[in-house]
Amino acid sequence: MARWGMVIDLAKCSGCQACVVACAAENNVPCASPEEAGRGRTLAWIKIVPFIEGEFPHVKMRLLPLPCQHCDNPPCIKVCPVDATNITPDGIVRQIFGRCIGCRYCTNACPYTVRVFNWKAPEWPEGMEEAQNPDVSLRPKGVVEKCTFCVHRLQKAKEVAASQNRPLADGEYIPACVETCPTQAMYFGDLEDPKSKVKEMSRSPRVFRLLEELGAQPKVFYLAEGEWSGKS
Amino acid sequence: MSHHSLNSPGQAGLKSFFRSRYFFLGLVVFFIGGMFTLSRWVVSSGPQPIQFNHSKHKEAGLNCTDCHSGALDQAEAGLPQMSVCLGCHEAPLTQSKEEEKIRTLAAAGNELAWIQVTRLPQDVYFSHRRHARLAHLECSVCHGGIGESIRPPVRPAVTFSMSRCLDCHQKMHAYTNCYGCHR
Repeated sequence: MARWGMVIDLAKCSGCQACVVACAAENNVPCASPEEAGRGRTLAWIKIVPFIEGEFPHVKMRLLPLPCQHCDNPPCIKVCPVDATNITPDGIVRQIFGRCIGCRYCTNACPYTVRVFNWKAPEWPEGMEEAQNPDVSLRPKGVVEKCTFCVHRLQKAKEVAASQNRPLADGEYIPACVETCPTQAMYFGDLEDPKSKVKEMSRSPRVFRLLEELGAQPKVFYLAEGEWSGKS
Repeated sequence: MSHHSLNSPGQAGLKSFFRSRYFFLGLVVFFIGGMFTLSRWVVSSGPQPIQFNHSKHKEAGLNCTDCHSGALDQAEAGLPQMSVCLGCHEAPLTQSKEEEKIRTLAAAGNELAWIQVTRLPQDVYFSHRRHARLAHLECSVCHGGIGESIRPPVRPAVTFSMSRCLDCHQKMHAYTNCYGCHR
């Protein structure tokens, strides 16, 4: 069984937010109006989190792309009262929108703050509905959503491989953010496959995971930029 | 009783209202409106551009996938485009007026505006490839006798429900977890 994971090389990441845009386009994440954004109700499945280091004039800005960490031991699924979120055998933490009752326990349990709540029904500017991805459902008002590692792409890739009678190849299934990253700072693949690129990268001496001491065992690995290991 | 005497003027008013022409007219409007709405619900798909005969095409030796070309290798089976129809019907094969309609539409440069009859809820991921190619299911398992119909169907031959999907998934030992189908 595969175990899907991601490696993000912070030394390569320029913080351009192309991943954020690609994700929103792929997963039908609606744009927030200025009023909604002012109330902190912007929806995003991946976001760039800024960290400011040092004091003026010796200031350095660190930028951290933050998708769902797809923890092996996810705190969010333990608190869901209706089993609307769970982890698949291949390690993807899913959200079943039809089941979610919008209690937001998971949103609060997630130490990475990657879960977002739909405060209203999704809206698109006139004409932009045409660009929606038919493989991803539109989330109604009152449910929690989050990154799925573009699991619809996995379903498709698996089917193509099965119909051609061969196993899934490395790099055949990648999420939209990884595909679009202009500096190729993101790697995605099967962490169980000893020959995969992501496995090799996840063994780098520069590797760290966010808030590792919490024991959630995230499957998103970061490669440190210089001496920074995300601890500060 | 005083109770009764209090009510009687109101009752008399109601009686005269029920006998009035306004009530009768209202009733007629209600029924005609209701029939109109109901018929819209039942025939919600509306008329298809061609009075298509599935049975005739099957008799001619065609398979479902000859026209619904995505049924084996795509998520969606798809409805045939004008070019697919013209592949056989560019020159008249029969005396049918409906067949002539295809060429009239094509001459005007129009595409065939088929109305999709079988629809799934938007939060369900369904792939024809997975069911028809990988699991070797016959089309009729889900589409019933549409292949034998002589007129375009106005509604799916089979009612789709989650329990119907789950019954089959349990029988065939396919996955029954939520995220297998719900996106």
